[in-house]
Amino acid sequence: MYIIGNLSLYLGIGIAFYSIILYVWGLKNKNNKMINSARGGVLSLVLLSSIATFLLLYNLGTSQFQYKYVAAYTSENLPLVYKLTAFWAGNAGSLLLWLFLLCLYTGFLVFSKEKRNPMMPYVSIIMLLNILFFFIVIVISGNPFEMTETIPADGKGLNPMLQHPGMILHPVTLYLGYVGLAVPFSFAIAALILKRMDAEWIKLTRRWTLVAWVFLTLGNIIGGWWAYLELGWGGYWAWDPVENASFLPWLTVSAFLHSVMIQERKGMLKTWNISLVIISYLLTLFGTFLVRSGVLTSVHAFGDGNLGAYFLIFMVFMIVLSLYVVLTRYQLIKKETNPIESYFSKESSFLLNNLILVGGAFAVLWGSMYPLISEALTGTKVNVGPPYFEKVMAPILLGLIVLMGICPLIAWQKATFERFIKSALWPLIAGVISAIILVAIGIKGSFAIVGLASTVFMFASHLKEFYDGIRARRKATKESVAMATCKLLVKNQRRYGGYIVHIGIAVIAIGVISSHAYVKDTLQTVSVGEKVEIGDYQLTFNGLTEHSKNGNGIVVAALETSYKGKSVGTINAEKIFYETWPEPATEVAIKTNWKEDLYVVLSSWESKDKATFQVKVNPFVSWIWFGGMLMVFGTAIALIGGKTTTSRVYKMGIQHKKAGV
Amino acid sequence: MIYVFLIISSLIILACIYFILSPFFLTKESDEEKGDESNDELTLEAIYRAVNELEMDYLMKKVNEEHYLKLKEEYQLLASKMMKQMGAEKTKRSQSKNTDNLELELLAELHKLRKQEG
Repeated sequence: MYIIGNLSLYLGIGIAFYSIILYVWGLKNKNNKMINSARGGVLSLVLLSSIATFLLLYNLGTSQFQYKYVAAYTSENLPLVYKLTAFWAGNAGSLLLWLFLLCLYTGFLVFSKEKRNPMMPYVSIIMLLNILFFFIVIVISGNPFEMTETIPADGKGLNPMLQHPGMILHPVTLYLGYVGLAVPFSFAIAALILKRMDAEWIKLTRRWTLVAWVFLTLGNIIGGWWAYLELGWGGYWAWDPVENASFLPWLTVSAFLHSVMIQERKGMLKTWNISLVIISYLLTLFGTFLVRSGVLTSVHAFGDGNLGAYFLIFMVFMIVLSLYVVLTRYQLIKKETNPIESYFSKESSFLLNNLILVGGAFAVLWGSMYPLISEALTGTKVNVGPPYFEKVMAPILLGLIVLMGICPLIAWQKATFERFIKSALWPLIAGVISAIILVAIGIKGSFAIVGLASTVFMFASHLKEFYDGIRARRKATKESVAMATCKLLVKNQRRYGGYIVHIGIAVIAIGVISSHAYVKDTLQTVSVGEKVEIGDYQLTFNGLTEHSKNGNGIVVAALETSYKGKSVGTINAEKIFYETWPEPATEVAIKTNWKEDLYVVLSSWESKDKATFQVKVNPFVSWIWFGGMLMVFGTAIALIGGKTTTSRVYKMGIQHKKAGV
Repeated sequence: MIYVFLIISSLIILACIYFILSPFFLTKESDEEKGDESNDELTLEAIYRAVNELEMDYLMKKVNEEHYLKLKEEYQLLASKMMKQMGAEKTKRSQSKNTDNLELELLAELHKLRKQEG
């Protein structure tokens, strides 16, 4: 096993290097046999990374403690699923996962139907540079097949916080997103090298970018869900540097997904799109650098000084490469970019949306980096916490929600203000009425009310789009409502898939605004039989019990719960004392209904009959998870649809006009 | 046991060598790299989609009639110009169709395309 594992990694370095050389050589000499040989190299890398991945899974699953990685992250009594998911608990495993996904993506690309595309060798070289880097880093700094000097009787076990279903999915989805962004980046660089300034690279990478984006979305949502259930502080997003690192590329890719539509249709924003895709990819490297280097304090980071330095060097290399390629082709991109026709059009609103998203990304980046910046300038590390991010991001996200309500109502090319006002009237009325209702039922907090009303406006404008679309279709085709609805979705997947994603964001926004502005919180020490009252809930403490499971000691606090005077059963808040871990883990007791979560944490206890609880009522938190699912559903619909009006229509149109036709 | 691992390792190396070296011996003419296949030409389908979106915007009352008709005419002229080009190529080959027949055929072609798309 040791031989095969190490052979896969060392051979991988050689073959990745060989493939890059053969691609370059083949391109220089126009030798297809060399290019095909390099392609064979990519196939070999898929095989080698798959073997290394399978071996590590086997070692973890069968508790081969002679391997340092297995001994460091698993133990004999760990359930099999967590033994396997310990794959990404440490540096070595997570780097191997990244490498495996990178090789798979490259393999799919190189053997896809676009394999004969002239851009593909260049794309492969960029992907192979990434692969080579990961092979080298794994061998130098995080070899998962390194052996222990003496075989321990048992491993150290997995961090209890990682023993949660969320952690089975969160790292994989996030990595699928991170790795996926290498594909549009490689295509963008390839298009620049070949001086192909049309929208072809965008069309070829649309699905890859969407897939990367939806995985980033899923990764962030699942990460939030895990933090909410497992960390026990009652929230789901703490603006931690590592959380921000995954949010940053999400923001820039969201901007990119909108601005590419303008390039596809109009041939505009070429420099902007290329910059966005490069920045998004570099941000994934930056995020990884933050997680690995330990330069910033985070609950999520697993720092290793050397590894951070390697990522920094690679990131600088990629920045220099990108800058060189962009700057040497800048005049060409500029020459072939068409200007915006009208400032009141969907194109302009998309541009504004891009500026807001990128502005948001900059604000998050600035806040995340501020401790380092302040240390470099003043010698003192100043951390900016959630208050900074909430203050800065709240208006930015509010602006984004309002714009998301406006954008669908504006026509492409040239809209008129009167038409827009006519279209926006009903959604505006819905927003205003919702604000009035919120004030009338006694909801406080002007910013939250504005936020909720804006969300209702955004939601209503999307509903109106569906309604108008169905009506227009029925007018043109005389179809039934059901048939028109289905056909509208089927024939315009990109547009209506995108609208479903927006509706998902509206649902999430309601959850985020409500759970921030209207949370109820209490910390109380109670004896057996005493009650804690919060909102519509009443909890009666029934005492503490102790038992053990899989060698771990568990303290359980049972709380008889009633909602609006009716009993809804007993909930158990727990503390688990793991055999292999010094810190106890918190298991939160949650009672969920559609409008709020009762969230109970067992903080401490004096005796079996007296304990302290932190109890919260978090409104609309479940909407965040539901909204996330809607976003994934909408993206799936958008992924099915593909063909678009290309910039070539516009180009020909312009020529046509110039010819005086 | 060590021999089993050595044999497996050798097989892995052999598989990689095969993947890398086989193109030098097995590549057929059909596998050869094609030239620049940049599909940089306008398609009828693309025009159809542009017209379709424009009609949708008009029916949803996002653009006014004047703007809609102007743009639609531009797209139709573009389509007819392109269809004529395609038709000319066909005519060169067959020399059998007159211009009127060609126009009708092309209109039917566009109609068919739109029908297919729903």
